[in-house]
Amino acid sequence: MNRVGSESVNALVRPIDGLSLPLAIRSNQSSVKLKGWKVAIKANIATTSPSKTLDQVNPVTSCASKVLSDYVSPFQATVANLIESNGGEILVDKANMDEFGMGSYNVHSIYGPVKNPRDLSRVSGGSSGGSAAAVASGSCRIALGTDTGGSVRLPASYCGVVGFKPSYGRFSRWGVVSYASSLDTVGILGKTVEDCEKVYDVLDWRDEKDPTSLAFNTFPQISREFKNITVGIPAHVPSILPELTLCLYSNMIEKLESKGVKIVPVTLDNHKHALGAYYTIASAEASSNLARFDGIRYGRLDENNSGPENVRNMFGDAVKKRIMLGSFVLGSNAYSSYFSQSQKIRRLIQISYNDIFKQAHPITPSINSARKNEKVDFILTPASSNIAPTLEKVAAGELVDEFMDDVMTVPASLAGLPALVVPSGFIAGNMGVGMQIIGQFGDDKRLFRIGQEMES
Amino acid sequence: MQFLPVIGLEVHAQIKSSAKLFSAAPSAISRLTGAPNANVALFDAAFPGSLPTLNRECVQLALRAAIALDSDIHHRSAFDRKHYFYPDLPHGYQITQHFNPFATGGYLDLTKYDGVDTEKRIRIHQIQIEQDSGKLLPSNTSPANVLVDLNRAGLGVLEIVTRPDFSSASEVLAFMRKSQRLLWHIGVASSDMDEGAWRCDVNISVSTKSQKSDLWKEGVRTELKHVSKFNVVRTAIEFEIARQISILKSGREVLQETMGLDENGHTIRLRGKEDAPDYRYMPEPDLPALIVTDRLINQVAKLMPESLDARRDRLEKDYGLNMFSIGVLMDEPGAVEYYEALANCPLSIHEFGALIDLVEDGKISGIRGKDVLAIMFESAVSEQSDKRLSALEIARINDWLIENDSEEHYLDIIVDELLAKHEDLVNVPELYYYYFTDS
Repeated sequence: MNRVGSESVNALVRPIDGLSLPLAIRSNQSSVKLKGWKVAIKANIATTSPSKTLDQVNPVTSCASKVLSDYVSPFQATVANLIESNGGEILVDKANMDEFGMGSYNVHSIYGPVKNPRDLSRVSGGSSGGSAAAVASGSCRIALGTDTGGSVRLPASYCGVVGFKPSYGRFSRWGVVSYASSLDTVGILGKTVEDCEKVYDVLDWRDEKDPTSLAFNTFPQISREFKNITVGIPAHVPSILPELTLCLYSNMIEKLESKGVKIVPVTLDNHKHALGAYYTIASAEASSNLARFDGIRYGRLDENNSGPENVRNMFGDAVKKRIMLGSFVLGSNAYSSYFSQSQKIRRLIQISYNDIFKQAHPITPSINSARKNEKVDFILTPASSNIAPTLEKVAAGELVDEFMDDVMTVPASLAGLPALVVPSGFIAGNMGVGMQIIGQFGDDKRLFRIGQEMES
Repeated sequence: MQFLPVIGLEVHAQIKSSAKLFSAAPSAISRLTGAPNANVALFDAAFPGSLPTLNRECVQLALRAAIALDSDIHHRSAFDRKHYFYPDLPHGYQITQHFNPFATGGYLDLTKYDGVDTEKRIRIHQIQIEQDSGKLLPSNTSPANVLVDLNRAGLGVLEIVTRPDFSSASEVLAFMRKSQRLLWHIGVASSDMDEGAWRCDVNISVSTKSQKSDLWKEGVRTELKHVSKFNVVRTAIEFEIARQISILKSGREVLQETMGLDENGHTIRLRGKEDAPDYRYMPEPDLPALIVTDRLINQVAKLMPESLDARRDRLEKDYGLNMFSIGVLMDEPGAVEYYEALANCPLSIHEFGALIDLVEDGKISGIRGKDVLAIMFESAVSEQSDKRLSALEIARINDWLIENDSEEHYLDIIVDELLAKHEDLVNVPELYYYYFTDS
């Protein structure tokens, strides 16, 4: 396996050694929204070779897994088609990632870990670490990742780039290899909020091939106006932040205040249960979605042993862990106490957001909203509580729980809310954390407006 | 000790839609001619990144079935995943409706015309929409290998679950016949029983009552999987009932088991309760809930054909047919429609018979006979009955009658002479020869 781009970072991976970097040029000349933009696509989003006639490499859709290490998709994802039809040039090399999107540090990959371009001793964050690092190191103008519980936002925070996760159902999942279908979204990584917004406009498209793709234009429109903006600060967040992150957080709050944004404290109920519910649901859906990799169609049988057990053994530890956990929580003895409970918590978390947003949820508005909280347009939190840990620490298992870094990002995923992460300055050397602004379901577009305020 | 068999049925009928339940691949109606794996879309083979799209036609057909069975259609139902590993199941799960089925309740009445001695209402427990699996085929070249054909994978299947209301194999067969007839009558399922288009699971137990007691005691049930042929079903059920009764008579207990069939159609144990698979049901996250509006239900209801019982009564009343004839007509798709079209023809049997006689007797040619029929039909539709001409009159007016000196007769003579002359060359089938020479 050859590593290209900024070689030491290991952001981009390709199937065959020794070939130059061909670009896919299938763009429609009349569409110029993304003309000439180089776009890296995460290895769990299907892309196809731009031309069958040229002797070009086929992009692999490997999901950084041994099971799919040489898998060439016969079809391309809708999001990739949209990038191309708007003039974007998709790299044949795919962005490195945590296997099947499962991980927070991008160390669970058959291609090896992705290093942080800002500090090669540190991780890039996961699971879309390759996408974030490719943007940060200048290998592409923008990159597509996937965000199930923070997989775009966490690496954006660690690598100091802009990361966007849309409302669930906003971008098509056709051609995106499923990890947890009810949480999976395609996300955008870029250098600036403006770049991300341009890509957003291209990908904001109702896809009939994806039954969870929503026709947002048929919902009551959230006001496009951008004045009298109120931003909520969740009461539970500052207390769990290290001092330096808290400092960046305060700076951002002050910056927004200075621009006329009203800041109010808000209380979000049930957020302490979010992680447990998230891992229960994500693992359950993962165990189901990965059942197709049984060695009959995908994966190879060992020469010594045949049988599906060996194919299933090709999964890395992080994947196996989720499959086992997911199989357990779906068992007839565990379903009601784990899976069913988690679905309820998920709904409660969504309601807790409904209670504090000014705008009603376009699909599931809350009925009783007798809360005294002042209503807000957005919620601001850091995207991660700390800067990227070192590879050494991660490898040594010193971080007790990899899942802890998902605390900031997981609740918005459970509620399907859009969120934008913007770099907010440095803590140590050139390492920093990003600030995350979360909007009501469907309020994606206005996130870019406030994101630009945060950026400048 | 008295014994009472208690039987419930799960009928799986392939939905006769043009495309599969969740993909645009043609449904395998043409599977008899199609090559293996010819009707397979990306989703049917579980390609990573492919997603299901619900086929509206399947929902409409399921609605018809639910309406015909007087079932309570749920305005909101949902799909679930049922997990198990098997080579003919590409996703590792089947999409079905476990937690929130399509419809619940309803019934199908069995009457004496359906082959049961006493009328009986069989209650429907629920109706659900689900996917079919693929098929495994033996390999000709390598006996150790198994081939997978996904043509059937993802076809829509309607599962109709009854209450345990049957007490004999005859009742089960009557239900199977009637429900099958019903489903093709309303255009939901195919009429053929081949290729697994129609499968049943049968749950069988035997209740007991001692002479001292007035109460029936429920028995332990066994499940007989995947039967489709009527005669096999009868043998299997009767064997299983006898087996359970003999166990009970000997004072032992029936075990909760899943049964298969041996080569004689007798039930044999496949697995016990302890090896029952845990299907790990989970809500299907790729598909939103299925919302059925009253408007749609009403639309579909308006297009429903008459019910089978109403049709049977009508055939008896309007045409004076006996039950045997009605049964023959109703067992053949399209036969009732054909019969009624004939029966309602404006030409009387006698008028038509006269025309047949003319042709048979060689008074007019077969081609002219068709012209006569057209004129007869036209006048039957437009003229008063007293003004209508007979077939003979029409032929005479148009000078179509074959006289001795008519052109046709000369032709016949020429043909006869030629045939006689070259008898050694032409090997004419006797029938044709007879036809030519007889006139």
